[in-house]
This record gives sequence, structure tokens and C-alpha cells, in this order.
Amino acid sequence: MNLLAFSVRRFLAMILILWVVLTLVFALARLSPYDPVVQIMQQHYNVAEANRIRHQFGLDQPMWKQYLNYIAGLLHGNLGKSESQQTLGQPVWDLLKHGVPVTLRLGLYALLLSLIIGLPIGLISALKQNSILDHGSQSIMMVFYAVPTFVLVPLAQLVIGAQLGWLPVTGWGAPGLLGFKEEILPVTLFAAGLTGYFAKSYRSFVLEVLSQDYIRTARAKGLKQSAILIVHAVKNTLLPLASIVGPTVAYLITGAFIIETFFGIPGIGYITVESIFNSDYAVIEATTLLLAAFVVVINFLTDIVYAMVDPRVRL
Amino acid sequence: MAEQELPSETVINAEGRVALGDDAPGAAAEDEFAATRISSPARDAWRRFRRNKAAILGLSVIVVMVVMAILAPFMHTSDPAIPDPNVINGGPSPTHWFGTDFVGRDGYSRVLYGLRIPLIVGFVGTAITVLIGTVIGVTAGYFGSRVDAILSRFTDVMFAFPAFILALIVVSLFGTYADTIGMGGAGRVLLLTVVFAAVGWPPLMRFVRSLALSMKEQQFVEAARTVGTRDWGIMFGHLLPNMWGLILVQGAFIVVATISGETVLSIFGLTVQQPNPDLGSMLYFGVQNIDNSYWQVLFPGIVLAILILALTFVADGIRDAVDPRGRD
Amino acid sequence: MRLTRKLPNAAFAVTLASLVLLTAHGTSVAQKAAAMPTIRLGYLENNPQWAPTLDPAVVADQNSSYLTQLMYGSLVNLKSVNGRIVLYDQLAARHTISSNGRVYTFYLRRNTRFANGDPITAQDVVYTFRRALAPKTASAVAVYDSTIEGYAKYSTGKSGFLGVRAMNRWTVRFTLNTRAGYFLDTLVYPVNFIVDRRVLLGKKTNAGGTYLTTTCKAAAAGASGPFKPLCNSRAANDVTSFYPSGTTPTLTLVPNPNFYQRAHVKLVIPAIADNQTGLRDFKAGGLDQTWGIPAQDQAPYRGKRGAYQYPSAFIEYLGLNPNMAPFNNIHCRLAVAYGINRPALAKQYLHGAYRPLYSFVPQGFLGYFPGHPGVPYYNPAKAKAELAQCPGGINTTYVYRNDTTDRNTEAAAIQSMLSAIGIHLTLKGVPRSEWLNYVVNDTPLSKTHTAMCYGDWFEDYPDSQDYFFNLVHGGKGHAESFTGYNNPTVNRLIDQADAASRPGKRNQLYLRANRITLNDAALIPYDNGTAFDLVNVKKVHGLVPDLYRGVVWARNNNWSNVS
Repeated sequence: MNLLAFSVRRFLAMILILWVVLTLVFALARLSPYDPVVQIMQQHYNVAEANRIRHQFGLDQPMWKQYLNYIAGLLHGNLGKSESQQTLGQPVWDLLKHGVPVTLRLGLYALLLSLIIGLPIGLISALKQNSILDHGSQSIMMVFYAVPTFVLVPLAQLVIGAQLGWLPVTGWGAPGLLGFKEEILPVTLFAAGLTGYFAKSYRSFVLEVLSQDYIRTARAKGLKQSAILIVHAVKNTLLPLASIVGPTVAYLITGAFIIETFFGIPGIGYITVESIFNSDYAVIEATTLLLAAFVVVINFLTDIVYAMVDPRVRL
Repeated sequence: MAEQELPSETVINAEGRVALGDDAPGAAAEDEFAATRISSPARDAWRRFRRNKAAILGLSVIVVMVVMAILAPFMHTSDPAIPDPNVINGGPSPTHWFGTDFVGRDGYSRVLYGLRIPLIVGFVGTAITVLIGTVIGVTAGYFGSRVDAILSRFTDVMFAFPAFILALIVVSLFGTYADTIGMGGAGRVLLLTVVFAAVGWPPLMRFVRSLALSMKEQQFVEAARTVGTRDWGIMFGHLLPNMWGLILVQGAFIVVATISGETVLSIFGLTVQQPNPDLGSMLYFGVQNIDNSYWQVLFPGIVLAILILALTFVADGIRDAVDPRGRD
Repeated sequence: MRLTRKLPNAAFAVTLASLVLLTAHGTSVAQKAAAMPTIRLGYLENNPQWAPTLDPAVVADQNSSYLTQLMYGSLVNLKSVNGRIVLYDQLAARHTISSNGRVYTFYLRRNTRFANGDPITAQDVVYTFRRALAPKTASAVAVYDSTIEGYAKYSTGKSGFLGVRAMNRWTVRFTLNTRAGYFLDTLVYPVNFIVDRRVLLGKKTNAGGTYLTTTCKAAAAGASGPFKPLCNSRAANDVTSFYPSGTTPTLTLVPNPNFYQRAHVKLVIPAIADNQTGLRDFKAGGLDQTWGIPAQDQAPYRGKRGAYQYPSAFIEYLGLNPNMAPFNNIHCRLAVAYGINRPALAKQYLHGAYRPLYSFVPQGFLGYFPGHPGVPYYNPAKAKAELAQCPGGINTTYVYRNDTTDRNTEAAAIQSMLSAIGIHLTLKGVPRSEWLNYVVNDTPLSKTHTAMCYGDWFEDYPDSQDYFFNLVHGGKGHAESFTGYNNPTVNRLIDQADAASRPGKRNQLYLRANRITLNDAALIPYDNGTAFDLVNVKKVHGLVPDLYRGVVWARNNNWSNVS
């Protein structure tokens, strides 16, 4: 079918997927062992007050009614009100709207940095396969991938921040040079794991492409190495590369939580995770919707790119 | 597509198999190349793997680690769960080779016993992930149209679902129940394995599917079809062998990601519970003391890093062995 | 890393950074403000969003309490003097108590106003209380004022009468429904901070306190305390009216020119993830004060200038279920009580960051019990003897919250200590959110078939009533009496002590209740947290430990002496 019909069908599928995910999360969140009213009242829980709060937030209604109310609210653009003790009653969108651009920016910088560093390293490793350069660089990349972020961050804060004093320990968004300095550690540490992933994956893609028959033919014809690379090889690594960039979003989201918390970055990472422990249903659903939408859109775009390049893909 | 060091006139079909040895068993006797050792791609691959020093090193390290973890009780360890208030946050010493942790438990014993968790969760979990993802991905990519549409949309739903939220809720729900099964936290380990496998397969499925899509139009598939090979035979006999190098490289990452995921859960106290040892939670608690007891992070961190490095060397080695590249 | 940022919390982090002081004689106010020394305080918040609420009527957590204390005053307040917590008149000039102990009259100070110049009148006080306890406000902490006459009907909307009356412009009278010796202490809690009626009249007050939390202008206008916030004028009615969008949440405070104790410093208060990050920031020079540092990092600083360690209001205890085996037998409970080695726990495992505790209130409170004669204490021989009389021995599960290192350390230590005398515990650590399910009202231990559970408490207001009533008093309606322990004698003693007004008498009654309870051994308190703060004394002067607030604070709660 043509590209337009394909895109439209995919788009509709996207909406359907989001709705299914939302419904699943709606049910799943309410299964968790954390009672939202207990989380609100903490150690001052008493039954009378609890019932009042439960009624106020509609938590005493049957599940299907809560679900319909929620969907109705969504269709009017209302994401609901927070049930966490600290942000009780505040509209969810107000809580998220300042954090979303911050997390996006942080993630984007990290992604770009990891691509800029990781891809060339992968390429060079592939060209110099099995050399010391190959093994060495790949090892370093993998160590960064292997060591958890929550180990790297305090280490960096301690050594680079406290002991050496080169960069600020915490903070985000200050104007001018201080603001730039504040961004260095979080973005770099956030990119650390991804860089290794891209370096290694890209190396394998390049090697795969270099082995293709047409490459050997081109070499046999006498084309120089560099020309072959630029014309054939790199172009053909773009598709598999596209297929792995998408899933890195999942890493960006979970990694964001740790980076943001330690460095005081006002994104949505923390609130996404904390809402689960507070059983703040409205926030859980809103953040799930956001994250799922993001992932689904990325996949959608990836599929469009594939379909444009390779007509066989358009079912 | 494997290459072999054979004279250029040897007929090589698109799969790289020597036409002689595989398709004409009786031809060996009258074959002018009878003196040439006829081997299967698997044995060739193993030969190449053996020559890759880094890969062999990696494999040995992994084997050693697995053996040490299994035989932990016999490796000069003490009970990893017994605190000793006299040596809290103690440094490395003749009695405590890796120092002690925040309640005085022996670091060396905890690392050895704690190694079991990432090994089980990482390897078993990844095996399940790779299995599910590959099967669904190849099926979707090969058959196309309706089958692909259904499988892809199903995968998309699983993909869009924030894995972290699912993992957190499921482990919150069933964690304490799982603790009652098995000894030393084995039940919870199993739960973690299943949870991570369940959320980890969609990206791999998409990857495998994209490989299948690009491969299914190639000549060797046509050829196999013409000789009457059934769909499943093509999928698992022809497509898969050409993919598994790439899949393995991704698989290595999935192992690391799974281990990392399990480690991150220790921030919330949802992973293996005290006093059972676990590399991930050792790292987490060690980090709290990093200012004054750095060894609590150093040793588990080094062990974890070595494990992961070894893993990637092995994965690379297998990939190189299966699809060696010309060293032009 | 995960901390409880709710009220029961032993760790605070405050960060300061000071600038060089410029000469500012005879210059305009704006220049004066710019020339003022800046102190950077951090508040502990691992959610880098604007999480505190700035509406005093609904403040229920540590951070919000800390921040609103700087911006609001109350009729009476507390200051820490020579290691004691002392009540003094703040917005009231003086007060009287009737002979039956049920009528309190406050005479307001005339030399203090709200930041916008409005005088603080009796009408504002009445408005404050009527607003805080109104059903529409739905304040979870309104219950602290439950002694005020008419509270029950007023807070549920059944009546418009509340026992707070303006006698004239400067006099307010409170009538209570019972004699309550602790009433004045409850007035110190943020729910009773005085707000400006003119600023808030007609503004919707809802459960989240969103108006004051998101509208900096209103907070700046209606500040009744030593400071008011500096506003980001370009922002809408949004949290970013306090700090620019996309930056680390920071509250910037400048002195309230109309407060009777005029301050001379500017406070910049960013969010800091946890006390370990705060310590690193302090070392890097980014902060001039830490707000609590982790137990394992304290040793190098003890005894140094600018390092202060003092008791906090955080206590921890074990709860044994007396209605279920094995702890339905007194000997089994006593075996545990004699088996806990409090000194080893506090000094070795917890690095001296905690102190042994044998009572339900921390040091400095009425009913505090420093020693151990008369109650069970660490004695392995006695413990084993009791265990021998315990039918079937003890092999049970201990539920505890596992969200911080200290909690995990204690659980491992307790398991180990008790195992040494033959008690076998299986540890069951749960996230704090789940632990709450075990300890909230209505004897949940029996409901969850749990035999042994961790308990802790942090003061809501600095009165022993808060501890004894909620933790020890049996029966329904007590916030954390989760074990089901219900001793009528103890209940009676606590009721008497709560109502009495003479501290000496209250102390005696609480001590007796304490002794009986510890010998019943269903509740076993074991340690009391301490606060440990570092101050950069080269740059900042006038900050001393404050036992009530649990952090270093202006001496005598008087910020005019801080520089």
C-alpha cells in the first residue's frame, strides 16, 4: 500500500495501543499494596478522616465508574488531581508541565552526546577489528555501561564535586556559566551507559555491512576503503541503528530518575517513580500516558522511516 | 553468512555451506577435495572462537565465576548473613579479604554468594527474553501481513507499557510472598527473573523482526523455498542461523540491562532482602559509605564489571566466529 | 537515598553559602537587600519538584514545616535555651490561663504587622483558626486543635460555632472542651500560624493549599514571621512565581520589614537530594550548613568547631503483638526485652548517631527515663531464663521498613542480638509505603497476623502527650497503637497526665505509665535519634542547635541576631 495509507493505519494503531496501555495501568496500579489514603495520612491515619478523603477523591466508587470518569476527564483534557500527601489536590498537569521539558532536554543532550561519542568509536573499532584499540575502547565503554548510575553519580559528586571542586555537586538551571557547569556532570553520567551501548552495537552493524557481498565486489573493483565506507557502509547501518535508538528511550526514562534526584534536576523522573509508592493513581496514569506516548511515537516514526526506505515493509 | 577458507572454485551456496559435504553425502569418495576436512559451520565457528583470545578469556572468566558461585560454601567463605559489630565497615584484612559491610558481615563471602543473583537473573532472564523475542520477531518478520500486524501491535502494547512501573508493582505485590519460596531469597530471585524477562523482550522482537524483514527476500531464502523447505524450516533453519550473531550481541546487552535493573530495584528495597547477599544491593549500600569505606563498592563493582566485560567478549567472540569479517 | 520527608524523620540537611558583605549605609532598601549577607540553606527533598506546601493550615511534613516557620509566626512559639525547649509569647505580647484551665486569653503585640503592613488583629487570629479547621480546607492536621470547644461539629460542617473569639481588636479568647496542659504546645504547630485575613479572604483554600503554595505574591504579602519570599515577578500564579521554571526548586527569603524582630540576612534555600549530597555540597563550599549528616560520616567531625550533635525528637521501638503467639505470653515478650543490647546498637552499629532509649519520649520531654533500673534492660542471662519459660520458643517474622541504611542496620543487629540468646527472627523488610499498612490505626498487627513490627515516631509538637497518646494509649482512635496493647491502668495514667497542667505532676504520671508499659514489654523503645549539623562558623554567626526544630536555628528563634 502507499505510504499515506500505511501511516494512517499506523497512527490509528497508535491510539489503540495507548488506550490499551492506559487501561492496563489503571487496573494494575490499583492492585498495588500501597493504599493511597494511608500514604496521604501517613502515621496520623484514622478511619473517619480516611473515609472522608476516600470519598473526596472518588476512591470509594466501583472500579468501572472510576475508570469511566477518568476516560471522560481525559477526553476533556483533564489529567486529574494528585493524591500524594505533599501535592494533594493539585492538578496533575501543573505538576508535570514544568518537568517534562526539563527531562526531555536532559535526555536529548544525553542521547546526542552518546551518539556523538559512541558512533565514531564503534566505527573505528569495527575498522580496526580485534586490535588493541578495538578491545580497549570497547572494554572502557562496557565498564561505563556496567557500573550502575547510582554508583557513578555519588562517586563523581564526591571526587569531582567535593574533593576536587571542579564542578558543582548539585543544582540545575542557574544562569550563565554556572548553569553550563551544572549540566556537565549529569549529562555526561547519563550518557555514559548509552555511549557504550551505541559503540558496541554500531561496531557490530558496521562489521555486518562490511561483510556484504557488494562491499567485497566494490573492493575488488578497486574502490578505496574510505569511499566504500561513505557510500555504502554507513548508509546501510542507519536502518539497524534506527531500530535500536527507539528502545534507548526506556533507559532514558529510568535513568532520568536517578540522575534527576541526585542532582536536583526538576524533571518528571522522580515523580514518576514516587507516584507508585504513594499510589497516586492520577499521576501514575498521566506519566504512563506520557511515557507510552513517547515510546509509541518513536516507534511510529521508526516504522515510517523503514517504510520509506524499504517498500517491502509496508504490509 | 559464513565464509570459509576454500579455493575460489568451490561452490558455495548463499548460506556459505560447502555444497559438497552437506548436499551430497556420497560424493565425498569421488570428490577431488576429499582430502579437505569436511566440517559443519558449527565446528568452524568453534575453531574460530578458540582462536579469539579475548573470547576464550571471557568464557573462562564466566565459567570460573559460575563455578565459584555454585561452590561458594567451599571457597573459604563464612556465613554471609552473620553480622559482627566489632568489625563494622572494616577494611580489607587477613580475615576479611574484601573487608566488611555496614553491619560487619564478611565482604568476600557476600560477593561470592551474592554473585548467584545476577548470574541467575541475568542469564536465565535473558535466555527467556531472547527466546520470546526471537521467536515472535522471526515469525512476524517472515510471515508479514496479518500475522505481522497482530504480533507487532501486541508487541507495541508491551513495549509502550513502562516496564519500570510494571516491574515495581509486580515485585511490590508478590515480593514478600516469593520470599517464602526457596531458601536464601531464591523465590524472589525467580520472581525478578520472570518480571524482567516479561518486560524485556519487545525491543529484541523489533530488532529481530527488522533483520528478518531484510533477509527474507534474499536469494538463499528463495532457493530454500524452491527446494520445498517449509516455512518453519526456513525461519529457524535458514534465517535464524544468519541472525544469531547479531542477536547475541544484543543479548549481551540484555544481560547487563537485566542485572542493572535488578540493581536499581535495591534503591526501593524491593530486591533480595536482608540479610541475603546480593551484588546489586551490596553496591547500593556500599555507595552510602563511599566516603569512608570505599571497598564496599570497589570489590562488588569490580566483580560485576569483570563479569560484564567477560560476557561482552564472549558475545563478540561468538559473533565474530559465526560471521567472521575479512581482515583486509 | 530515599528518605522519609514526612514528619517522623531524623535527618535534615540545611545548606548555607554566604557572600561577602558590602557596605550599605544610608542606601535604598533595594540596595540594602542586595547588600545583605546571603545564607544558603538547603531543605531535604529528593523530589526535585516544588514539593512543600506553603499554606500553614495544611502543613503535614517536615520540609513544609521548616519553610513556613520562617515566614509565619504564631501566638506562642518555642525557643531552645540551654538545652531546654521553652515556650514564649511571639505574636501575643502575653497570655493568661483561667483557673479551670479551659480558657486561654491572648493579648496581641502591637509592634508587629504582616509584611504588607496590615496590623495583626484578633480578627486575623479568629480567621486563621476558622479557616484551618473548616471542612472545606480538609486539613489532615486540623486534629491538633481538637481541644478547642466546638471542634468536632465545626470541622464536620454541622455547626458554625468554634471556641475562638475576638474580644476586641487586640484580644483573642480560646475556650477548650477539656482541661489540656499541652494546649499551648499545639499552638506552635504550623496549622496555627497566623495568616492575613485580607489576603486570603475569598481565595479558595483546598486540600493542597495550592493558593499560597503557588502564588508568591500572596505569601509575600501575608507573611507574619521574620521572612517573606522574594518573588519571580514575571511568572503567573504558579510555583514558578517562587523560582524560575526549569531550575532546581529554591525558596529565596528576604527579611519581613514589619516583623518585630527584624532580620538582616537573605536566605536562599534550594532542594537537596539527601543529607549525603548535602554533606558533599557543604565540603565543596556550596553550602554553609549541613542539615544532618549520615551516621557513618559523623566521626571525623565530632568535637570540632561548628559541629553540633544534640537529641532529636525521633524515637524507635519494637511492637510485639500481645494477642497472638508467641507474644501473648509475657515471658516471651520479656525475653525480647532483656535481649536487646541498646548501648551496642547505638554506639557500635549506629556509630553513636543514636542514643539508647528506655522511655517513649526523647530526652528533654516530660516522662523521659534515662536509666534502666525498674525496667527490662540488656541481660542475656535473664533473657534466656525468660525464654525458657516461653512455651515453644520464639521463631517468628519481624516486619520493618527497609528504606534507609540505618533501618537495615538496626534490623540486622536486632536479629543478631536475639539470635545470640536463642530467639530466631526472620527479617521481612518492606518499603516504607508498605510498612504504613502494618502500623496505621485499628490494631493492624492482628489483622495482618504479624507478631513483631518496627515502630517509630517523630513529634508533631513538642509535648509528651503527642507520644504517649498516639503510641502507648490503648483502644481505638490512637494514631499508632498498632500492637493492640491495651492496659487500663496505663490508659488512665496517660489521660491524667495529658490533662494536668503542672509539669512536675505530668512528669510523675508519665513516668509511671512508662514503667508499667516497659514491664509489660509489648512496646519496647530502643533508641532516640540525634541531630548532627555542621555550620561554617567562619561565615555564619548566630545559629545554634534548636531541640524543637531539630536543626541549627537562630538563637532564641530571633533572626535579628543572625549574620
